Amino acid sequence: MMFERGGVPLAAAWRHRVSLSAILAVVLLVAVRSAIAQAFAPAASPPALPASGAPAAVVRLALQWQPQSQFAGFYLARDKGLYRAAGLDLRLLHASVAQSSLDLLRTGSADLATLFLTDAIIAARPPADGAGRSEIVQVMQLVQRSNLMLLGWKETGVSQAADLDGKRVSYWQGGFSSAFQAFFAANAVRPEPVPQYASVNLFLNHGVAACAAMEYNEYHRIWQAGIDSERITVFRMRDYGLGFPEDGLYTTLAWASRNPEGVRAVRAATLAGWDYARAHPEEALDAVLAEARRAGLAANRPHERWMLSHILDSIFVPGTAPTAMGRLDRNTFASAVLALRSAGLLDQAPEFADFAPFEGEAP
Amino acid sequence: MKQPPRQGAPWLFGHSIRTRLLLWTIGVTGLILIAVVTWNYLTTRDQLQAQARERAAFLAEASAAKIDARLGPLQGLVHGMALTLQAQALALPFAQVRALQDAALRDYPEIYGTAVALLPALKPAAWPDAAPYAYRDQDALGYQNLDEGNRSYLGEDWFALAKGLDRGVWSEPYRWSTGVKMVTYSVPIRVQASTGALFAGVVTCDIDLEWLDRMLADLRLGELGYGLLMTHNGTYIAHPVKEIVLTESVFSIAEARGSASLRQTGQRMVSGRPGLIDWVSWANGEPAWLAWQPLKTADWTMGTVIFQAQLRAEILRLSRNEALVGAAGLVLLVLAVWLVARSITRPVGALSVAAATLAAGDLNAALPAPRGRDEIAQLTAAFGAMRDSLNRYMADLAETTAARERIGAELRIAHEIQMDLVPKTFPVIPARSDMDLFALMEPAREVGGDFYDFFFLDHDRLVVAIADVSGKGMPAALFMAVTRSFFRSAFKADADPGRALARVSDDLSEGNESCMFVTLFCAVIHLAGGRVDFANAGHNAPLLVRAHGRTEWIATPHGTAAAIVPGARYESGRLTLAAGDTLLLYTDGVTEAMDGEHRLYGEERLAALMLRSSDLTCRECLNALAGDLLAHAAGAQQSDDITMLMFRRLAIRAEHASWDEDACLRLEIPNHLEGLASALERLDGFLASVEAAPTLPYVARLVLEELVTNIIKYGYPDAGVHCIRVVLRVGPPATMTIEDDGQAFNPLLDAPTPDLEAVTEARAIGGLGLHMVKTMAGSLAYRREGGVNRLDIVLG
Repeated sequence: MMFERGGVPLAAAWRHRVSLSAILAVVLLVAVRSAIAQAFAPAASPPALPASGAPAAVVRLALQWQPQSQFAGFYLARDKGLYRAAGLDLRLLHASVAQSSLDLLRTGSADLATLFLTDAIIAARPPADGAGRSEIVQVMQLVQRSNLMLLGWKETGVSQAADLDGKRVSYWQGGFSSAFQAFFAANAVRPEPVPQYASVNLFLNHGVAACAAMEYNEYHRIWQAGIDSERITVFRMRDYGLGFPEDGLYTTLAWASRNPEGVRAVRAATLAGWDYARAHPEEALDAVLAEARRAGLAANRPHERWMLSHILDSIFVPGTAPTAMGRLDRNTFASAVLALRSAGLLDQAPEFADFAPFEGEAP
Repeated sequence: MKQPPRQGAPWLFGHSIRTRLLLWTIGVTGLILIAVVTWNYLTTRDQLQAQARERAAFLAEASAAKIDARLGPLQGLVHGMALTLQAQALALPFAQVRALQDAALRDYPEIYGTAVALLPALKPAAWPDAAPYAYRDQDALGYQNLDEGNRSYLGEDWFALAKGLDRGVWSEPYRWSTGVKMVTYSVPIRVQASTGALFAGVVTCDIDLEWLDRMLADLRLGELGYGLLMTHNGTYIAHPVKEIVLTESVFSIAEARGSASLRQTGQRMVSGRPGLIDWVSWANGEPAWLAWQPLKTADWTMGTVIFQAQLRAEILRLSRNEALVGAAGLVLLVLAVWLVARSITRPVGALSVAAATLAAGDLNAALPAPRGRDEIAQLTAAFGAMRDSLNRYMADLAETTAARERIGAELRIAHEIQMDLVPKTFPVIPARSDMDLFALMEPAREVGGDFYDFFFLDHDRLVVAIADVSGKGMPAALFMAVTRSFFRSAFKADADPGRALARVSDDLSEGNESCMFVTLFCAVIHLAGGRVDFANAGHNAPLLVRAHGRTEWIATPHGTAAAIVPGARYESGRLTLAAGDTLLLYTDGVTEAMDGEHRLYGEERLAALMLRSSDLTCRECLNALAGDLLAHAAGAQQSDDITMLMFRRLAIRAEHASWDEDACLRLEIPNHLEGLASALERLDGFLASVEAAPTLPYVARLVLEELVTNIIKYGYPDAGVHCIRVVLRVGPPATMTIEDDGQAFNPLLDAPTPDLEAVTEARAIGGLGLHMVKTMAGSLAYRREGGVNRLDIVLG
């Protein structure tokens, strides 16, 4: 989830730009050193090295936001040596306000990146001249269902969708806005839109009557600010047929063309990491909290637990065939494209086969 | 003296006074002490609890005010800067804005940085930067433009919230890259446009919050108590558990612990209203008081926690000190009571021991020395006085008892002497069958004034007498002895009863200073013929019981009592006793014997009993009479002596004509001279009453005296009492047998023949007497049998 900030002042981020670069360099250095250490430490060595015995390829994977349970499967896949076992020397990068994961992917700072489906579709739209293919291709679709919701203050008079009419409602710009706009249109309301950024503090301060939220994150943040569920009216987008799959793993067409096997290996190991997280949620939480601590982030376990449990339910959707894990449904893609188009966010959509060239292969 | 506790006495009362005093003192004072300590504990606890709660609330409020006092001016500063920009409608030279920012940083050390961030569209054209930011860079001031082209600052809380809420906003506190806690306050800048007030940007100010921890640490909330500060979202800004600061909120902790109550508490705390509750700390599970106060500047809540355990320890310490002081006091009190009790019980105990010794009879037991003038001393003194009185009394008693015993002993001796004065050997002369005589004397006290007497004047004449001296006891007894003495000597001189009485009266009245008198009846009975001559000196009329069953009172002649006046004359009367007639002499103790109701025995009853008893011997008759008197008295104390003498003349039967042959006298003489004298007297009496050769009385007396004297003097070398048996037979021939268990001595062989020619003084003692015995006796025979000397003497 990209908007969790904890209120670090932007002013500080700017002032310490040079320092941030230095920190990044240090992180990289540490990662390299740990990789070297892993390579030379027999105990830490993965049980199955690639048959070729060639040195593992360095792969950089950018996550959408700073460490939290949203990425637990990646941490475990890395920590448990699953990537290494697949012959990958995978390094996880975290996006920031200054640089999104898409930015990192586009600038070549990362070979792979996690993106929301809607954002990815927008990013993967073919050039306006119609020549050539999309730059961005999907590796796998992780989060199968939507966690998007609108939360309204009951005390401000929001108890049903119609009540939103004329009220200040904040929601994220970009890919998600399509779902909300579709929601407003479907309910024939015209709220006053307010851009929503990293925090829900405007909502908590009653600056807006309703705000956007992810079920696994902001919804629980608000509860953790002492607001009981009874005070909140919840509109789950998926309940209105407006939810789209969310987190997916993407790479550039160029990298995918060069490393088709790498793509498959990352895909398999990541899924295995999420399987492991599902089987060992407390261990997953430990990994997440350790990662957050390393990044100097404030994180509390109850919140991460809530997030993990909801993310897992979104990846391994109850009642869905195991074979669906990691895959993108063609129809779902089509309805997302339609929704983005109706919201005016997309003019030309990528072809499904171009967008998800690995779909159809066994995950 | 220890006494076992009384049966059924309550346990507490079964102990000594000292123990009871101590027990009661300890018990009652202890209870009071416990009550006081408990009461103090409770009231102190309540007070301290109330104080602690108040302190928690007060400190929360004071801390909130203190924080407000620091944040308030900074808030004012930001507002001032915003107002300045607003007033100038942003038409300010950029350098002036920068100068304002630098001045703020210089004047307010708490401010870390300050920014003016404008919407890019509204940036004055003259300004090079849309978001100038001045900050503290160590000791110098740094500068930076926050707008670097991507406009991402527009999404920051400090910008978006101020814009969205259109008011000054405190951001959620955050940790700076140096680890320093910071908070940003931002105020919107509005500019007037044709459409009204338009949001143009914000003025912000980053504030260092490190002083918060120091301030909260300085709060006086006890050893365990602490202060805390939380945001409107419940996130901890300051808390003694450092790990949770800025990472956890009260709600996340409540969630982690599954504690709905903690969540509710958090909701109350961030509600914007102050509060004070009893609370159990989630951090250590201890009961505490939690007070909170919302700040007036930031929408934060200041909280204070005071632990009850701390207070409990304080209360316990207070109570313990109090209890210790009380216990020390109790010990002192017990000591004092013990001393007082001891000062009472020790003398009492000593007194008790002394009293027990006194009670055991030791009147010389030492009493404890009384000390002071208290009740115990008085009691001791009273005991002393009692003991002394007892001592005196006992001494007196001992003396009196000794005197009484002496008198009693003397009286017993006097009684024996008195009894010896009257003849008591019955039958008087066993050989004589022509008379029967018996007498009884029973003094009312040890000695009495009565007496009876009888003796033979010769073989035919028997004198009988009875007397009653006036008064009682020793004087009467003495007078009686004198009277008897005079009476016997009077009859040696003249056998006429009247003249004998007159002589006795005269003798007694002479020198009778004590004016005593005696009534006396005496008679001379001629046994052969039955004639009786008698005289009466004021005595009760004797009773004559004729053999044929008629009674007569011998009332005349009757004279006055003897010893009253000298020269009294008494007429002799005469009567004749037929065989079987009985004469009863008695004193008034008989007829005036009283029963318990003062009824007299009476003469009629006496006469009737005598008539009924005519078939009995004199002994049996008098015993019957004594028994009847005893029955009459029925235990009543008799005031008068009872004396009776009865004589009956019997018919002489033919076969007893030669009674002289059988006449014999048996004597058992103790081996002393007094016994011999008594034996001689009896011998005289016996010989006077028998017909014998004229020389027999003389010879028998001499033989007896000589031989028995010899045995008494020489027969017994030891000092023991022995009995010498003598049998005298009148014969003829008259014989005497002497038996003794003394040393073997044959007077016939062992006694030397005395030299009659020698000078009397030079002769061996005893030799002459024995010689006379040998000479006068017809024959002597000695034999020694079984340790006994037996001497048979024929008296010729």
